Amino acid sequence: MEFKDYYKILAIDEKANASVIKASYRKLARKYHPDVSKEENAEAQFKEVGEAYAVLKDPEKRAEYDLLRAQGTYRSGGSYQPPPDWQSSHAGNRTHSQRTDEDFSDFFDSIFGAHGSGFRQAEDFQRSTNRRGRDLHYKIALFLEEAFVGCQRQIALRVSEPDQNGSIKQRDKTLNVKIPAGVTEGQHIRLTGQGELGIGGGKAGDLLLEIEFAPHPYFTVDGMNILLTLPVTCWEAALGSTVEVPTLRGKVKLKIPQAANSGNKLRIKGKGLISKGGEISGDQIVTLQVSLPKEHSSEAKALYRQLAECESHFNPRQAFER
Amino acid sequence: MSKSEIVIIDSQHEHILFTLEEVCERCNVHTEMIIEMVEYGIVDPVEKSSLDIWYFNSQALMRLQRAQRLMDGLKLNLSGVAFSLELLDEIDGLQKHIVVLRNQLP
Repeated sequence: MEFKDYYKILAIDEKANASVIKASYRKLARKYHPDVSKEENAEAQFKEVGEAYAVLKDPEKRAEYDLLRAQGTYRSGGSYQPPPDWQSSHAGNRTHSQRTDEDFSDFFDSIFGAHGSGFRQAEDFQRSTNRRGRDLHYKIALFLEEAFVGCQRQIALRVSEPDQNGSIKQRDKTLNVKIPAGVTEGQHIRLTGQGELGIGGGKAGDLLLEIEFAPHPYFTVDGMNILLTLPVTCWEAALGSTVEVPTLRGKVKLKIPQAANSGNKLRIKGKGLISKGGEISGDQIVTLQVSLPKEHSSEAKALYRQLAECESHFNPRQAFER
Repeated sequence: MSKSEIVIIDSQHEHILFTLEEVCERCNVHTEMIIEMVEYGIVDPVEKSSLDIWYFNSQALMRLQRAQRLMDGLKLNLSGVAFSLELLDEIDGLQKHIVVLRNQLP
């Protein structure tokens, strides 16, 4: 077991008073709240911060913790064991004071409660009969192409369920999920009864899958439309041309009009995403981007000089000259 | 790892609506709380049909659960959480917009 330095977790001094502890906790709770935070491991950090605060805000718990900490019963980086004769004045009453979804660490349990999490939830299990199992929420990232044609995905989940003795056990299960063609970002798919098992005859929860799109190397999704930046040469843009363009439904030929320019947008009808029922289809919107080679041959340079002479009236910086 | 189960999703999985009672059961709160959350504009029911029956889609359900976690975790009140969610939505939208624009840059 690892010794948890609650002061370090809350980024405070060990002499910090109650208001400093509270202020730091509030700040970190906002930073790591899993519904807000973009930090990695936000959920684990949020729990850790909550645990640290639960101990340090309570003068009695804090005193016990300080005692253990001062005894030097931990070695940095090494494992931690509470002293064999350790007896917390709090041991055992955790079930009544804490909410069951507050999952504190083994370290916390070893100091403040002899009740392991299995036991704690088992008690809860007996207390509230007939409770519906919790829904599980998962995000699955699909490539655009997969979402478009549909695909099969394996999802590994960990569900908690009561065993014969009523204590809560974790079970890994794997689901093979067939995802229908045409799902869109943010869409939810409900797998009825695949969530956590109900308690005391309560119904099982559901598994809700939320579709996310993995970033695509060149397509961007904008609602039902697909955006693509298409590099073209300056002569293709000047003279007009027909070029091959990738779409979700394979390559298509796109006609570039004469005197096209960087930033011009061309619409390829019906090559975007398709709505659930299939009745509405988005478009692919192609933005031209004139692209030049890194180096020009001497022949090309000569031609450019010639071009410069015959187009000498063109001034792209006219706007600056007023 | 235990055996894998095959789940095939058909179209009925895609239109998910929950009644007010189902939402309360899933959020583990009383109806008054959900009604208040609707009044604060945290979520909207999908359709307020003839008999005043509220239906919520799964996005609304998840938003209600998110609102609850924020209220519990950060000790926010209803107007605080409504305001936070609005700002978070706005940030989300702006970030998506940045991605779209960035992808169009040379």
